[in-house]
Amino acid sequence: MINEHNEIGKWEIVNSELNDELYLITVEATSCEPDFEEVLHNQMHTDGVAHTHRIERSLELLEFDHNPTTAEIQSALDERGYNPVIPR
Amino acid sequence: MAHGLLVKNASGDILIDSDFSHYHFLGKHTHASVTQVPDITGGSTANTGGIGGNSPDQNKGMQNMPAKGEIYIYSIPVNGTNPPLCFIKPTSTGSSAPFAGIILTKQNGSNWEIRVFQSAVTSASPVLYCFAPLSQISNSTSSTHGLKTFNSSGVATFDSRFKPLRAPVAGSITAPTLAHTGSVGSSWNVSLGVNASNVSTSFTNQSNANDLIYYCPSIAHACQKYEHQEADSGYYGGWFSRFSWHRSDIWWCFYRSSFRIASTSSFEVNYGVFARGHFYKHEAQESTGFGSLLGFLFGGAVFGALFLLISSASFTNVSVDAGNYLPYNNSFRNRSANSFIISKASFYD
Repeated sequence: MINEHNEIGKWEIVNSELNDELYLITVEATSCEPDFEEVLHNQMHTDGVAHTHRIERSLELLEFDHNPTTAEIQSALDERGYNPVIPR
Repeated sequence: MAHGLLVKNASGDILIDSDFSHYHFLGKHTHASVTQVPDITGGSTANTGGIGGNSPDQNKGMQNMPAKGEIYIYSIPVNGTNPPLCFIKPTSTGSSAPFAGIILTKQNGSNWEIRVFQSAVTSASPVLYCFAPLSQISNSTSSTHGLKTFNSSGVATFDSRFKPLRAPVAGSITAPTLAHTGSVGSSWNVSLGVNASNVSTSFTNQSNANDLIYYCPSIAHACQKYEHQEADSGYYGGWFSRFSWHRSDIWWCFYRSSFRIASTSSFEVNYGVFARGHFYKHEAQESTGFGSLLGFLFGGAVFGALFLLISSASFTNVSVDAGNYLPYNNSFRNRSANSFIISKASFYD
């Protein structure tokens, strides 16, 4: 699979703070266009077919009244419309 | 207290204590100047023209950023070591009134400089009702009757002829946690406006909200940011037109707590936008023309060379360092138990 960069769609916590009983979780959320299959990608290069390898990354600040689980963070990101895959 | 005078009300609150340097009315003061914290903005753009419309160029200024409040600067003539106690007579009261609070008190020669932050720009201006210990008040009076107390050193501590500070209401109030809750932006559109709910505290009902003045320094603050990056690479517009671009942005707001008289029995706190900024870095590269021709003639043999010229989509070297601009990220400080005193302008007008 080819995408010409090392990024993958994912999120990770970049800052976590407990302040006045509020958990402040700053998450870096990355989205990418799906990889091309290698043979197809090579053919697109050979044929000069227009195509892109797009990456987007945003910071999200999430608030919890308890120490959140991974699933709860994922759910909060889902509610804000986070999708690790950018549709082509 | 071996000797002296101590006067209490029916609730046991101390009204007069001859050992305590009571504050007396110093005067009513209007601002000398008004200002705002300048925006911190900037960015760099390199080679972003002609990328076939792929490269995002929007919102490189302060678009979508919330409006800042303003800062009123007062110079209070009261020479001495004790800072004046300054009550704000707000520009308006009620549920639509702007919030205001004292953000700075500093001695400046024979004056004290007071700065008041107001969450919104208004045509009217807040007025300060200021108080100081008797030793720092140079007023004189021809009145020959009243009550005057002295401490054990013989220093006057209370004099009913000089309008002692009267505080019908006192309490504490706690600011919201974050100034903005929920998503702070999407793509190149930032959303950092104050949307926290006002926090209210009630007090004994007073007859006229517009007569109330309050002392409540702004102690709480919050700082929040939004960062967004995008990168893309590939081909556009046909054969061998290779492109790559990346853009990285950071927007932020620094908020200060401020207050308002919401009604005859309600005092409220929320944040106002004190300072704000936006920085970005945007770079692009493309190859067309001779490189494309070579690619065409040699069946892509020059791709390797083109790859050296045109990096693939990457955030490398385009990140904007948030640490240079913000005191802290996505949090708040000093929000709890902010003491306040409420008095009445009519006591002193």
